[in-house]
Amino acid sequence: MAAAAASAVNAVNDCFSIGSTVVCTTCFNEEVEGEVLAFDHNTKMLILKCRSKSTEELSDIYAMNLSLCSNVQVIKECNGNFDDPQKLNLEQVKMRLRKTVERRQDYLKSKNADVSPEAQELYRAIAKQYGYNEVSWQGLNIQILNEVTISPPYRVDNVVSSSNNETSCNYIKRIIKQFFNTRPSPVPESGAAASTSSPSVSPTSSSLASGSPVPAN
Amino acid sequence: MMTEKLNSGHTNLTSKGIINDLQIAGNTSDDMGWKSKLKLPPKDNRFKTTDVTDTRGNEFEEFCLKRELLMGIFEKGWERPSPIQEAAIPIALSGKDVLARAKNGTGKTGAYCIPVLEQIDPTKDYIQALVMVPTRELALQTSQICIELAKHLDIRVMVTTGGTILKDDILRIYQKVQLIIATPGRILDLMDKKVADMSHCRILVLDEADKLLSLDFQGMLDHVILKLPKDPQILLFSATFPLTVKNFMEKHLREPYEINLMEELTLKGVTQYYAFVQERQKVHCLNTLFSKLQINQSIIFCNSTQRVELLAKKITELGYCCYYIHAKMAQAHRNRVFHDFRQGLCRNLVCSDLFTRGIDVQAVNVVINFDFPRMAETYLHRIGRSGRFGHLGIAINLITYEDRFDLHRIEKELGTEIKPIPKVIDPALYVANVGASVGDTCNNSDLNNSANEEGNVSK
Repeated sequence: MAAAAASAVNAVNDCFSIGSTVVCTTCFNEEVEGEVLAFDHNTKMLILKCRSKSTEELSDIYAMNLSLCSNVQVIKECNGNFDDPQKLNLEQVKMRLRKTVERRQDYLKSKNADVSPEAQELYRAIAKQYGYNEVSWQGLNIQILNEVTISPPYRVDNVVSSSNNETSCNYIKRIIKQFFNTRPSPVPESGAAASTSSPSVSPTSSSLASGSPVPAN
Repeated sequence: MMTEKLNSGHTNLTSKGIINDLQIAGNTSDDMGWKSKLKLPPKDNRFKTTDVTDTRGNEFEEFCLKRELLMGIFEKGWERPSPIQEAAIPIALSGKDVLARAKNGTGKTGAYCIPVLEQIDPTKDYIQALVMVPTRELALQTSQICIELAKHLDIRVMVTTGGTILKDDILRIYQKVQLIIATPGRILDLMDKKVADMSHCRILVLDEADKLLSLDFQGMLDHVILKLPKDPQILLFSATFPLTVKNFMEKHLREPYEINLMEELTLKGVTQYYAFVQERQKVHCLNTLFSKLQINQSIIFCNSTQRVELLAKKITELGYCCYYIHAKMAQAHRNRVFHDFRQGLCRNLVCSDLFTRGIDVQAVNVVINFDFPRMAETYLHRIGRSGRFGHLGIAINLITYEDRFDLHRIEKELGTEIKPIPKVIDPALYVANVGASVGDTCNNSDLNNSANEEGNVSK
């Protein structure tokens, strides 16, 4: 809001007038063309409203970092005849920020440098159902609901329960079975061998490369 | 709208991934063909709020449900789980007791029907699950949903309520139903007559438990549980959690998993005071409060529409700016007045109890109960704020002699403290940027005004 207000105040004097049409070439060599909604000179961030590629009535909003754009051109200058920007629901923005941070923190909790990427993906599949607060790493073991433990190599046979709740055990076994049945994997024998050897030799870059990205929304 | 769009994209990618994985896993084409043979209803393109879209991204398939149940779910038009379904289904399938708080219309029925139907063994000809609801209409509606979901399963569902012929229900039970949806009176009757054998009923669902545990059904649920096997799994759903629900939970549920998807109203950050006054002194006291407090915006609550109008008139006569709204006004007019108030066009709003989710005007830093509410829930709605972290502000309750018991009871029920109003209220409790308002501090004067004191009239 402050940035938008500042841009509105300096609309005429700034590098990019609100309402102008600008085309940018990003560092991925993609061209983005849209109408300027806001610009912040200090951070060199430009907000563009572009026609949506999927739905005609909607617009995509792009936040461009001009420091990383190779080419920026003003196609059409605007003389100040533009609609007032939409009012922002700041409470919702705060809530979205908090939730996004929480999801990133949850993703970090699923990381474990001592186990295979596959085991970490299984952790995330289980945490997605039970909630990240109910699943944790205990060394190499996955702990669920404080009553079920999965030990390496994280197969159906490796599930044990510390309570009388066999139903919980059985359900988690079904999750594990479905997890391995629905993923492209080599033959079970070499798969087991791979997971056995990877705890000691798995490089950090490999782990990072294979981790699935968290949606940023 | 952007959120909706992004979510939609994410979901499409997820669905595509799942399908590809299934194909790679080597399932036969016949196995994969069941989804293409579904008789899907028209897609529901209505706008959906975050009450039903704000999920972790699970799909129904990920819950390891039977294919026949998945077919029923998709043919009902349910594409992916809602937040309450996502939270409750895995926990219920793990055999744990569930204590869930969710609004109606957010998929609550599916949150318990799906795990119940999944856990019923169609090859066993005895009652395996019981769903208790407080009204006949809800029983009929719930049973209809169950029947549609169980369409491809060989599960017999029965609904039994008061107001129907008892003999018909008795005949139906003898057809070996596996799931019963009932109101308390009728099912107890059938149990007492030994027509309904509950010795194998290991799942009990209580929907709208706050109503089931109210005075209308006093003691009935305890009676039902006595007829069930030891330690049944209990799934309890309620929109509110009065003392009766808490007591029942502590008595019958084993370490329940708690799910709370209602944005909790909280009294955190709100400092609450009371002032003992006589009825005829209330306007005078309000005038004193107006002159002493640093009000950014305030809401003053009355208990009736007539009193709202009378008080608004008095406040205007005292020279203060004030809007008022109450239930008898047209909805469009109320919306307009509230919108203008929210925009800050007026400092004070007098109203009766119109809000169901608490006040979400951040600029309101003073709430005054000109009339004290009788119910704790009303008090919470008037003064409570949404969100986990609360909100800075004060609440002042004008208490007459007749209100003193209500004050104590509400304090106890909500677990909060309402203190006597001090002579001086620290601005840090309710004024943002206190340092910036140096020249506007409170006068050192007795807020518990005597009958003889004349308050200054000022805007």
